[in-house]
Amino acid sequence: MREDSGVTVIRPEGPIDVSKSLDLRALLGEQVASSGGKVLVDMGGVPLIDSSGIGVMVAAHRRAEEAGAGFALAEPSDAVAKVFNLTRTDRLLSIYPSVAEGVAALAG
Amino acid sequence: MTPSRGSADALWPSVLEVVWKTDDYEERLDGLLAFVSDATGLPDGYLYLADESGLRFHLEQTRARPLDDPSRVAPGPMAQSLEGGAESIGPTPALELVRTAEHEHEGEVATVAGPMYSLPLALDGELVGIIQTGPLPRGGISRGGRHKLDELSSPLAAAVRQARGEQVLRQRLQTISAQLETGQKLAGSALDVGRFVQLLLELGLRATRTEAGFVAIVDPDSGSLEIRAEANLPDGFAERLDLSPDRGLFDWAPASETGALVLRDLEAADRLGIRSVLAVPLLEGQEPLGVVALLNFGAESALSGQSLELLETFAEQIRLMLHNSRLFDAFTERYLETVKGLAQSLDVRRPYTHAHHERVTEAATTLAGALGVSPAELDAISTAAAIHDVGMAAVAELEGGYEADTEHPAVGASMIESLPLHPWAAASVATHHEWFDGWGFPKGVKGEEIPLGGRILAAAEFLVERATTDPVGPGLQVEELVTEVEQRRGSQLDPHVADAALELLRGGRLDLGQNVNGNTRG
Repeated sequence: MREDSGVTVIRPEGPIDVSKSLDLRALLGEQVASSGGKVLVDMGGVPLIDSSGIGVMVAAHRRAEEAGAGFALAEPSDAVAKVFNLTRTDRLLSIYPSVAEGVAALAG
Repeated sequence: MTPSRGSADALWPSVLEVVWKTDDYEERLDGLLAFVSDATGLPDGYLYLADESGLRFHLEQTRARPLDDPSRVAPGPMAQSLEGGAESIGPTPALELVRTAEHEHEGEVATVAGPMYSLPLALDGELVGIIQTGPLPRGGISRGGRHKLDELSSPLAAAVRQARGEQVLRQRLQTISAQLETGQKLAGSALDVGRFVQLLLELGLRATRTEAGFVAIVDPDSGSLEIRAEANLPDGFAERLDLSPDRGLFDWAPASETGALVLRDLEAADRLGIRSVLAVPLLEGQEPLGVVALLNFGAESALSGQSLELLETFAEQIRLMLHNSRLFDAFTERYLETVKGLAQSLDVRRPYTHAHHERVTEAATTLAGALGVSPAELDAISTAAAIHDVGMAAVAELEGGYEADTEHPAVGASMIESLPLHPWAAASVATHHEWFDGWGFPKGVKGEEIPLGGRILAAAEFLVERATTDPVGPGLQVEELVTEVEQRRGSQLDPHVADAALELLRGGRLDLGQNVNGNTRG
């Protein structure tokens, strides 16, 4: 986790499944609530995500929307991008090709 | 020192031999990275391949020292240890590189995995990929190592392109084979949606190397999900699974806007012992039709880009199946209403056939109920009774009022036999003039060769006609009907059906409707 232009960048590592999602939910919930409203999840280290992980991302997205905060994802691998596409959540979430673009969008 | 052309040319067969000696794609790429490692003395290597756009490179193969190698500075480049389940404690190589001018030239680069030497794999002006090798020693790569890499660039590019090309063909072949297998199996089970969906689920699990799964379909009336097919689910899993729309495992709320489907109840998934789950929505436009869920309980998910493509193929097949099923159900309903309308229009041609189909339907369903048939069979008999004489519409009427009607059961049956109805529906229409002793028409079949639906329909129509006043004679009273049935028991009428009819007649429980004179019969 790091700060970049006022945006909290969180970089999970490894595949996100049910047990990882439980941890990730706690971390994201905390950050969305306390980060001043700008959280970017760098997906560059995530080779695969399942529906539980996507549920966590959507929950964080909703929570940020309700709080008037910013939440986005960046740099998904092809497989991860495919999962977002298959579940149609790519239409719901803000997903940027690179961390730099995600940070710029949230910071702006 | 400029390398001699001779020594560079000698590298080609050595590099290509790495590709030729195995069919396995990963072994081929690993062999090429090992070749680079041997040539340079640098232990770690990362192969990135250009995507179709040529604007990005994806990490395709890694060859790195094991985590417990003492030469690695902990945490090493490939460490994926997690803190709090989400944070990395060590750098990893980038999974994707956005192409820049820097990638077209070999040289030292700073990467998240440390200082590496980047070698472009170029062939015929095309940048096939990049190999990053390292970690670089203090002072950088040796002149000898740099020279060897320079010589290796083109043969490695050719070898990678060869391996990648074959792999793409294999993946296409696998996808086509899966589609072909699906198509062949589907062709043998037309209209059986349940079997289709089960088959597609099993094929999908096999193609994606997933442990278990289910397909749940949205009930159009209640909006809730109901499991229609399942494979390898643990005992009791389906019973413990809550799929209700308001609080169940999946959240359908976003579906109204985007068609999105997410897992809502993480704790429930954890309690159910699910390690990973991938739920794909099946949509008709934005309307949810159902969900395909792939589950792993013990094993780590083996889903990859390719298996996700296959999953999409299977999900689309299931969606199409449900879509076609819904269309066909709607068509069947409308078509049957038309056929029933045609049958009723025949009834009004003569005063003594008024409401004939309606009366036969009432009698046939009463008889069928008394005989204890299943709800599906009862429904089929009701449908058959409602249209049983519709084939008369296709029969020429002869002078003097006599009708060449021996073909009307077959004609009527042919009008509904292609519909996805219970087999008794068409069979009952086809056999409602057959006699139990074989003296009926059109085929003269007998006994239990005649489906029970046909035997019931035959008795119902016989009773309605005998209770109706027509040019042949006055409608019969209950006692006379009882005598008629007793006389025909075992000859024209199935003895069991006849017995049921007799019991109903004697008990005043068989409504044969009103005849032309308005007298209630039965």
